Amino acid sequence: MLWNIDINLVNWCLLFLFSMALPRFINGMVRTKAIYTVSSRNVVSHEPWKPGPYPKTEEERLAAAKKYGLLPEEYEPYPDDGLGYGDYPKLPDIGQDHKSEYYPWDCAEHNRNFGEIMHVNSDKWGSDKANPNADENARFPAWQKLLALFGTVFGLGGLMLTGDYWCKTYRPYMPKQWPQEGVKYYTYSDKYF
Amino acid sequence: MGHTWSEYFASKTTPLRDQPSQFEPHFGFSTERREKKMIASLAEMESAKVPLDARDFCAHMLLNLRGCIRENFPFNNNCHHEREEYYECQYHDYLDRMKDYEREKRLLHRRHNLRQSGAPNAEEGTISA
Repeated sequence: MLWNIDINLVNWCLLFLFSMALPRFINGMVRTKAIYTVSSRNVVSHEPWKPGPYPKTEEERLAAAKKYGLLPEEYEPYPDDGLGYGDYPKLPDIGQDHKSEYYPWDCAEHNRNFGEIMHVNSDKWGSDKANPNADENARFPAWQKLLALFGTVFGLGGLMLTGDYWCKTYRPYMPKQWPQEGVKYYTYSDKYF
Repeated sequence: MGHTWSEYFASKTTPLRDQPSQFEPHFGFSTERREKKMIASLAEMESAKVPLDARDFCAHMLLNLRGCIRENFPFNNNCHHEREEYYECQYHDYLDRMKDYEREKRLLHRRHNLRQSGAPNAEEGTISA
């Protein structure tokens, strides 16, 4: 029974594999390799944008400042303690939210001018992400926020506890009557007790 | 006003909390009120291990209910009548306290008004401590 399957299907598959699919696959590999080779050489190489080594001499320092478009007195690289960024400048910690929204930025979307040197952490300090100047931008200082939180929690809790205490303390009925020696109680009921 | 307010600002005419009545129990009634009788005895309650906070004037109905439950367990609903009766007894116990409070308040108002007007029978009905 098994040899009764449509042998034509297998034939068509083999034909497709060897006549069209395999050459196309090899051709794709070659094209991809060619594209990457060409573009890394000429189009999108990251080499020109990579920071150089940490500047040791004064000439290297001036060259680095000029490279990043900074004045020599403004330029200060990250310390070369193994966690630094080569000669990339250490800029003041200013996030996008801290920049004026009324200044005519070249790129208003990112509050940034053309060619402006970017902070190392600029990827995470956009308006949609973190803000290193949150404390300065905050409408209320942190102690006021904490005071509002705890004032609300303990204020409402105190009101509830006080009201609970009062409602349980002042009741409009006489104290519970317990049967005891020498004390007589009188009832309004003619059925119970 | 409510009790919380009146205790401080109208303390002359408000029954102070946890204080017994200042008036004779039958004062103002045409016939004497019936005395509240404790039906369950102490020995009964002790042998049935009734908790201390349940040894009030309704303890006999609680004993009745517990006995019924003991006979009918696990069909406790057969004792629904006893249960309702016990709750009704507790309700009347509470009703007595509420009515006593209202009576006390009205008698205090009456005595206060009589004292203000200088009537000679102002202290009528007051328990002379």
